[in-house]
Amino acid sequence: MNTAPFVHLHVHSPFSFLDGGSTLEKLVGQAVAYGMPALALTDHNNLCGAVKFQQLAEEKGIKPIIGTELTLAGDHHLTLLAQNPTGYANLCRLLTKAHLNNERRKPQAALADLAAHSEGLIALSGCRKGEIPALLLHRRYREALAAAERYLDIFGKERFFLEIQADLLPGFSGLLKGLGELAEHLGIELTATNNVHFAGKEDFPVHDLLTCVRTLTGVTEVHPERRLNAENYLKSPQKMAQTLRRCPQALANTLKIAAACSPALSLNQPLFPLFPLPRGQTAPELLRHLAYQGAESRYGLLTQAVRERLEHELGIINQLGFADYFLLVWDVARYAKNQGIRFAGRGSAADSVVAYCLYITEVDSLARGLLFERFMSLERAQKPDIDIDFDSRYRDKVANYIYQKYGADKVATVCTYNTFQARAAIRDIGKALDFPAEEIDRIAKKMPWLHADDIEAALAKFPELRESGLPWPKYAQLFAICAKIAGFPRFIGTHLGGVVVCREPLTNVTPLQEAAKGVVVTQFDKDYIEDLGLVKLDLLSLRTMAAIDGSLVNIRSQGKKVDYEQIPLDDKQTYARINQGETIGIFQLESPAQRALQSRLNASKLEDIVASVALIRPGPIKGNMVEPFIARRHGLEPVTYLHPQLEPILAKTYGVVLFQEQVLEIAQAIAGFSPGEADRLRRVMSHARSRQDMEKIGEEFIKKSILNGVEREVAETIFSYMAGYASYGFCEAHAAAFATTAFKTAYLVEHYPAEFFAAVLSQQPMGFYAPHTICVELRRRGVAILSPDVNASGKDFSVEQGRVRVSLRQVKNMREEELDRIIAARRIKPYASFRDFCRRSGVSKEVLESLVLCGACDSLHPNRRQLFWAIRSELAGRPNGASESSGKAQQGNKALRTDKAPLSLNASANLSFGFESEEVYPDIPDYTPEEKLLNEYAILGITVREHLVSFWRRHYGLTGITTSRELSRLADGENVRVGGIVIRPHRPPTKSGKTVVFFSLEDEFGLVDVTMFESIYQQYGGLLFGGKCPPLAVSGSVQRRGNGLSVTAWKVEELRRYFTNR
Amino acid sequence: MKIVDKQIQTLTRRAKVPIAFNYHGKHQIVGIEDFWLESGEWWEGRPERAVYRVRTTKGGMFELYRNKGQAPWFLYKVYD
Repeated sequence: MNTAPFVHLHVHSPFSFLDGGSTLEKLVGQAVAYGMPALALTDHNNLCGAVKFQQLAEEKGIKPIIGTELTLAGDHHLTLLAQNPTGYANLCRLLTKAHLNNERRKPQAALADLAAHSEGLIALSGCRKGEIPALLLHRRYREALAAAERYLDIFGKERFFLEIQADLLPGFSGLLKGLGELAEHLGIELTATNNVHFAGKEDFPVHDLLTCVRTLTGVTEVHPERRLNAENYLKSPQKMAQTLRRCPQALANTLKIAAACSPALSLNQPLFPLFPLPRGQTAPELLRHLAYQGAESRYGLLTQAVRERLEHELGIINQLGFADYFLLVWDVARYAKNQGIRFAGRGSAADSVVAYCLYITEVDSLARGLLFERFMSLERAQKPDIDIDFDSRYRDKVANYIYQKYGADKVATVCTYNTFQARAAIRDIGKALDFPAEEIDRIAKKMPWLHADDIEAALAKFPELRESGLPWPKYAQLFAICAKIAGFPRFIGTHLGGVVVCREPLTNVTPLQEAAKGVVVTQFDKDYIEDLGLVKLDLLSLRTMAAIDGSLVNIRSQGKKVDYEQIPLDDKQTYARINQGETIGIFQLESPAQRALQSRLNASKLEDIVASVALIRPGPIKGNMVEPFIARRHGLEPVTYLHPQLEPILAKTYGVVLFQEQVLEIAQAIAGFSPGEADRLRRVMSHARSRQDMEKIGEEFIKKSILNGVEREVAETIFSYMAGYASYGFCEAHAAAFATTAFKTAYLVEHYPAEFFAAVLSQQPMGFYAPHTICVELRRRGVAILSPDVNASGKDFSVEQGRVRVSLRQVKNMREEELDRIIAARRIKPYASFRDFCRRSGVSKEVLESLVLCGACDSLHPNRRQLFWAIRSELAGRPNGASESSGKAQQGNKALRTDKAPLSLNASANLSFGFESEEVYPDIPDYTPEEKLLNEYAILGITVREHLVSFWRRHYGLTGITTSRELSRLADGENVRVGGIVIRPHRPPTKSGKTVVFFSLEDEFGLVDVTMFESIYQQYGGLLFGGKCPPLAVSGSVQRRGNGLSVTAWKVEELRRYFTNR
Repeated sequence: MKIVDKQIQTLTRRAKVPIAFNYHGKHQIVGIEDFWLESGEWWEGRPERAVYRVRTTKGGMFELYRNKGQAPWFLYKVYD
């Protein structure tokens, strides 16, 4: 193909955030199709798309030119292109200053900054928002000339061009003329662009609607940001020449500019930080010293095996140049430990003995026989990824330590791109298309979690959509646009744990900007950051760590003692409970699938828990690995091995390939692969690479196996067996890291249920279940729940003589400062009366209402309705009149005002009830027990005295509904009807592709797990999904498996149908 | 300025550029002051239109347009 005589130098992608209508792939593809030798990317005030753009362009064989359309002071736009790495670094610095020196989301670069960072940059005068074109359009010629001279001063004639655009907008000819005259006057050159915002005209509606979203405009409304025509597409060179036929030199200059730009963005640079070392010591030396020091402490005796393993790992770490990285992580872990911050390393880093000896992880991979190469290998030579879970309360403190140690200019949080998925796309585009808000809300709420391009297919697939009665054809245009913007970035967010530390100032490498809550983030996400050469450190925030810590505090407060580090991992009582499937609240073991597994597995040692953590994952479930595992474990299926050498590798998993590390071991044992080659095989298998890749590595495996003395047929069978399972396997080191925490939390639940669950309830949201389910579990274990009480409750849930007291923080609308005031005032003197509480606590009206309605003031006066009606009068009598509510809390109890007393709130304001001087309450009856329960549930998210289902059963009969407790008496296959509040309905992926729904029904005695197969789901799925799910009654048959039981549903109805006495 | 928005008879060159039109008599176009494209209400399936601001021999200024793929010309606006 001949090289085209034109290159687009001003192009926006979806990374212009709601100002780009075509994917980067499509834009690059179009440029390649036109034979363009290069393409520029110039998104608004960011370089987010630069890495992907460079990779795509290089893959397609065209030159990527990295640039941006920068907003200058005065809101003027300027197109900047990086000529070389210096120019790229200057773009990063300019963009960072534009963002961080201004209000969030309103970046503006100062002209002085532009002048200071102009080296290596080519500037084009920009679109109609550029200073020069804008002045020309307003016929302010002298000012336009002065502006052009300013830019000329900064960039010189070689690097500053007046930009003419083939936009065919009103004033097009006049602007062309004006820019031409200016160029001639100043002796500078023109260049042609098309301010591309989409690849072809067909994407104009996408761009127009995204503009509507960005400007909060309806499609029928006028807004200056909306384009008058569809001309800003990636036009062919011929079309550009036709539109700008009077300016041939401007077209030719695009090639000249492209030629002046050499590669600017360097990927895979060694940018990870250098650890500050003691004088005279190198990083490898220090790492070696610390690893051996830790090994002595971990192992006591340094055996040959330990030494060899350490040397092996250190060799790879040093050869790949990651000693500094390990030291950095070691230092962070050491800091956390010194500060008493609970943490645990997770992921494949737990395959490393060095990480274990540095006390980064707690898994002894040597003892477990785990291969380091699953984590790092010379062949893979990828950056290591060490993830650490920290106590959620102190994670930011750890991050701050890193900022302080390495300098704020070298540390930042990694960004994420919030992208358009089905719901967000429907909401945004639906609004732009002027659909009524309530209609859009209804559709969005009905949608399951879907990609935005899967909506059409979902309409027939999901019963909640199919049977919704919504007129789907009416939304065809909406869904078509949603599909086109699937995955487009909406805004920049903050990665939950990713922190990046750079050897040099980060602004040499990435622009920084402010995300929500003032966090400074990179403009590249975790993948692009790594492509650049930076190493991300995942400092994750895990509430389980906080709950463990809290439970230990609770245990101590009760005068008991437990050493968490010394919890016996063979505690029989704990295993016995796990084997009953009673694992609610236990880290990693509490989901219905885990509970079902535990009730059948008969775990007796930590290895069983490790296997459990790995088994209940989408991969192993989809790969149907659970059943053979259990059958073999119980001797119901023979454990066989295809080759004697497989036995020592697969014995612990009964011949099933469960762990990724096992694939590595097999490849080594059977084919004599090196550890690195073995990891390559694992990656080919687990990442579902191409058939060619698979065949190639298969041939290699078989050839080497034969050389290793294995028969061809056996080698082929082993390979196919591995290929079948490897994509479902789980990292054993990661499972082992989680299993220890899982068992220890099981131990705490078993021996200290009140203390542990009180801590879990204080750390919400966490785990699989909501507080009300945790409370049912507490009661089931014989632990009573105590009402919140203004005189007795703390900020957190607490333990009082074996009972759990609901915290004041649990009360809806409660703000931290009000909580402080309540507790501070009662420290001086307990509240003697409701009036005393109102006057001294100073809490807002909404919080008072919540406290009264949930029973937190019962100890001051037992009639909640009387107190509720007294609130306004009491507040009127406050000395400082501090009765006004917070803005947020003002909406607080609207939903709760179901009071049936014949008085309105306004009316009550005019009544004193005669208690100006003493507390005399109006003579009105208290709320009914049902009203009290419903209020508690609405305000606390739990019911304190009685479960709602228990109440309904007592008052309304619930005839024919079997309780979760009675269920255990029924035989396998027996028909039953159960009922309760629906907990976590979900549809995990299955191998067959058919839908199987799992959910639990909660009643006053516990949970009943329900399984619903495809045909029943197609009939009743609409009740479970697509909005608020009512309490349900499920008819089905009892399934007994091991110690567990569940109900297989064949009919589902609303529970209220069985309220026989109502 | 007056909004007219009425179909008119127009004489064009080969490139479909107007050179004369009838509106209360014949108007000979002496210059095209500006030309642009408008996408209009695409969401209602309306076609793109080409708009010409023209100067006539009698010194008048007019805005003419033609919808893409359609023959008729319209006089949209008359400038004072």
